[in-house]
Amino acid sequence: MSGHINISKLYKSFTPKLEDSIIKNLNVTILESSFVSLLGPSGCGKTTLLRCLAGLAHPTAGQITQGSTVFFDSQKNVKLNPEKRNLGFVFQNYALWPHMTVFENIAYPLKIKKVDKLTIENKVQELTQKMDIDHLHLRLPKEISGGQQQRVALARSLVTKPKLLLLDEPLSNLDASLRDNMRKEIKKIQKETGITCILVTHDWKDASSLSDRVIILNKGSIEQDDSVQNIEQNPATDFVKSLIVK
Amino acid sequence: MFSFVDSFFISALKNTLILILGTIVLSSIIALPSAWLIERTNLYGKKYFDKFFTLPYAIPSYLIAIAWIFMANPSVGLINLIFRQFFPGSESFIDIYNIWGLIFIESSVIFPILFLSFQASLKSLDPSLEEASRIHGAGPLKTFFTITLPLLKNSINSGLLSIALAVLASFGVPLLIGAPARIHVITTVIYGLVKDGSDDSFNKALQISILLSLVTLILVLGSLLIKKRQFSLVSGKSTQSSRIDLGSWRLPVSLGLLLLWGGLIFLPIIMTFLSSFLKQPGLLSWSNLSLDAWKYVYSQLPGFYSAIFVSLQAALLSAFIMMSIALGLSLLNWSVENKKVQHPFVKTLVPTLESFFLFTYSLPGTVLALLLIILFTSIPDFGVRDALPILVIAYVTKYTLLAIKVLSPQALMIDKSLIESATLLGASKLTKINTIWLPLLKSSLIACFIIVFMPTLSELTMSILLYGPESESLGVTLFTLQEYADRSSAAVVASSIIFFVVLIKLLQKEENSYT
Repeated sequence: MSGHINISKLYKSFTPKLEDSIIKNLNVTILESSFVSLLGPSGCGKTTLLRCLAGLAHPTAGQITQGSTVFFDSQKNVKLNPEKRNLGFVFQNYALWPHMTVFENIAYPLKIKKVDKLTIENKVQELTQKMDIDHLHLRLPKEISGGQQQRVALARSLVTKPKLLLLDEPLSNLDASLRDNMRKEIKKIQKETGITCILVTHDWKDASSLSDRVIILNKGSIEQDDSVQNIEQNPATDFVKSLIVK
Repeated sequence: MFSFVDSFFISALKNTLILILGTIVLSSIIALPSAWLIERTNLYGKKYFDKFFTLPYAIPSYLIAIAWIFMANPSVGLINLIFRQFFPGSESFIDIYNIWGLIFIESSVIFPILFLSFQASLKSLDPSLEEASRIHGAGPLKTFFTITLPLLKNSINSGLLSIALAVLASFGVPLLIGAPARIHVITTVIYGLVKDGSDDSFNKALQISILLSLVTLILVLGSLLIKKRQFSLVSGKSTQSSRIDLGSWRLPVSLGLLLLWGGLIFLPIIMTFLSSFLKQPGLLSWSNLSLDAWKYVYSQLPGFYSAIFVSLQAALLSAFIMMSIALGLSLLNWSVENKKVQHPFVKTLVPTLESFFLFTYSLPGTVLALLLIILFTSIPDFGVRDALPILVIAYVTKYTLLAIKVLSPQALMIDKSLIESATLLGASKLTKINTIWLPLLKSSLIACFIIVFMPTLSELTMSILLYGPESESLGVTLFTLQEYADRSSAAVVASSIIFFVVLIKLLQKEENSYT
């Protein structure tokens, strides 16, 4: 079963009028195991698109599918709840639950799936060892650094081995040297697991160093959709140029 | 010492504890799910629920008690009479005069305290914490129980403590519902002892009051401590948040909540109105409807207009004093926070006064009134019984906290550059207050006025102990009518007060402040 993401004729409006849409008639296919970045300035609709993919927001019209699974279909009136989509999501502020330890945070998705205790312990241990955060298990989120919080959030999203990982500006809260490390880390994990990654960012460096393909959004429509190399060599518009200079 | 501890006191203490526990349980069942539904889901009519679900907060609680007496009094309650029309000769359908009735009515007027505090903490909770739970496989209910509730545990606990304090202080509902059923609570025991008139009883009442003040102090300190331990949950950046789609449950859940609102809030109000038009209490027929009671109250009822005048006078005067205190404290607080004032005395003055008013607000009105009587009888030439001033002092002591709570956070939001630029242009302190502070705080001042004016206008608990022949207030008049079983006149006065409260609530515009 292929797990390509297919977005077709997607509209999202926060008012009843379709003309006010923040996403306008968007058609995109994202291949399984690829790493795609959604790049654009704030207000271009990139975060909204990511939230529609996750099921945290519902599009006004259109269709989103993953392989044979329908996430959303306005015509058939299908809205799959976020918990049924089986995907990982790293929030910009990490959204670690402050009342749970690092271990409890990472174990939560498995606990919800009623996995037995021993298996949970093994799976979490295996993952945290690989990400070098296994010594933090008993700490609370406020007791660890920003970079470590980032890793915990990533581990929590990966622990159920989802097919799709959504990243909402995950690097914007880190300082420059940490950012470099995290980029390598994310890239490594993606290569190893073959998970499909969609990254939302306004930073060309994040997009270009991580992804195979970059979709540049402007006012809810696609400005350019190509590989990193092609965009750098042939920016389609001045808007694209202004984004990749930064 | 402790001469007040007798079997009567022990039973009142027991009743009070049962009432507190029962009200905590029932209020949680009403308040927590409804606040969550209104704040987090795509319920129909959210806006209206938001505005009207906490209406009992604005309506004096004894009015709701009187309304339930109209409905569920075993002999002449409307519900029971209607029931008997269909099943002649049967027992009464419901009887409000027992501990369950007391818990039910108490909860229906007190749950807004928990509702409002829970709603506020839901609003400040970073939505991504709940969204993360949904993404990682938990449904809405699972998320509510594993993420939302544990995160807000301290805020809920402090809300429950506030409920305990409110029940401990409540007087009107236990007096109207409990007393006929011989269920006495501590405040009604104190009231009985004071009304008894003998020195011995008065001393007993004083001893119980001092004990109750200590308990209140401990509970207030406890709730302050709990609040301090709350996780900091406010997200720095405002994120988009989504409402939970109730799907096919949307209509049934909305209707269910409407039904709950109808039973708890709308029914008592409408029944009060209805009762005011009945010639014979409890008989529902066209021929029994009339305007007689309204005509009587507004043209003949002795002391009615003077009661309105006394209440208006006392409420306006105390509202003005409370707003002045609140404004003064807010400005001082602002100056301290913005480092305009560094004097250590001023720095401690503001929090000290705020804690003082928190304590006097939490103190049962019965106790506060008694302490004021003692204080003023010790001052020579101060006519305790006949004076309006003592009512005003009592109201101000009790309700100033509400004014501070509304005004102070709004004042703090005013950026210091706005004030400093006026200073640079040579404005004096008074000019700054007149031209910058007051205009900027206008909408908060209006909200502040309403929140202190409404409860004082119809206050009963303290007024009933403090009133004299010249200062019988609206609340006392209504209570007297109810006591002497002039039900239709009582219904007219109650309807008039409710009408006024709802009118103000409808007129009050959405917060439209500059800050």
